[in-house]
Amino acid sequence: MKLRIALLRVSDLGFPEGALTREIIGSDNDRDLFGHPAPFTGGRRREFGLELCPHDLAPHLCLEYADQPAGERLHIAMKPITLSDGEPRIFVVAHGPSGLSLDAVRAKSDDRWAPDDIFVFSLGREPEAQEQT
Amino acid sequence: MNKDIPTNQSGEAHSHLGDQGELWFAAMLPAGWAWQPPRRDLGKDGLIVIRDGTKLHNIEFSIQIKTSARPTIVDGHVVIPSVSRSSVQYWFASPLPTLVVAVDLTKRTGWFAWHLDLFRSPKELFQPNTKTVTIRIPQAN
Repeated sequence: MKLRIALLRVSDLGFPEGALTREIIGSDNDRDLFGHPAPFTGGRRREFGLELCPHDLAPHLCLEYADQPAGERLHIAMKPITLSDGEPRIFVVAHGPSGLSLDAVRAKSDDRWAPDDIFVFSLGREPEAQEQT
Repeated sequence: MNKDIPTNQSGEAHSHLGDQGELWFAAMLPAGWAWQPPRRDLGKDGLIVIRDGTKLHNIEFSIQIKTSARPTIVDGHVVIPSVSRSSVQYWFASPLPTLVVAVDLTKRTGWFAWHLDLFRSPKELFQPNTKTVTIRIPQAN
C-alpha cells in the first residue's frame, strides 16, 4: 500500500505567525457537531482535506527519503504518542549534521510551532492500479 | 502571537535517545496492540493491551525499552549494561510479565525477551553487591 503525502509549512496553513499543535492537527479535546468527544478531528488540516499520518509512516519515510536535503526537518502530522515521561511526541524525519535521523519531538496541545516548520500530512492511499481483464 | 508560549522546535531540537526508541517501538506495534504509558516511570516504560480479536486478544504485559545508537552484540546476544537492579526486581515482583526490548535506533531494529528468561537463577538477581545488572537478549529474538 502506498500513501500519498503533502508537505506544508505552518504558514501555508494560514498561520503566518506560527500556530499551536491543536490548531494544526487537532487535540484530544476535539468534539464533533453533536458535542461528542472526537479526538484529533479538528485543526486547520481538516479544512484543507489533510489527514493525519499513520504512526508507522515516519520510519518508512526515513528509509525511503535517502536524498533528503541537509538541514531539512519534516514533522509528521500524526496523533501524538505519550511516552513514559508523560509527554506526547511526534516523529521528525531530519537530515542533521550527523546524517539522516528519526527524531522525536514533544507535541503538547499548547506547544507552538514556527511559521517555517514543515509538517507531513497524509492525502490517503494511492489508487490501486486497475487490473487487466 | 503569544510571546509567553515558546516555539516548540527551538527548545527541543533533538530528543533523548530513549524517547526516540520508545516512539519508534510504539509506532511499529501491530494494529490492535494498544500502547499505554505509565502514570510514573518507575522501571517500566509502558503497558501493552492486545485488543485485536485474535487468539492473543486481552493479553496484557509490561514493556521496558532500552535504546542504543549502536548496541553491543557479543556471542549472539545484545548486551545491555547498567540496568538498575531495583528495576529488574520490580519486574519480578509484578504480576504482569515484562517484555524487555533492545532497540537499535540506527538500524531501526529491535530484539526482545521476557524478563523471566533473562536470568538463569534468582541468585543472580538478588545478590546485593552491585546496583546494576547486565542483561543479554538473544539476537535470534
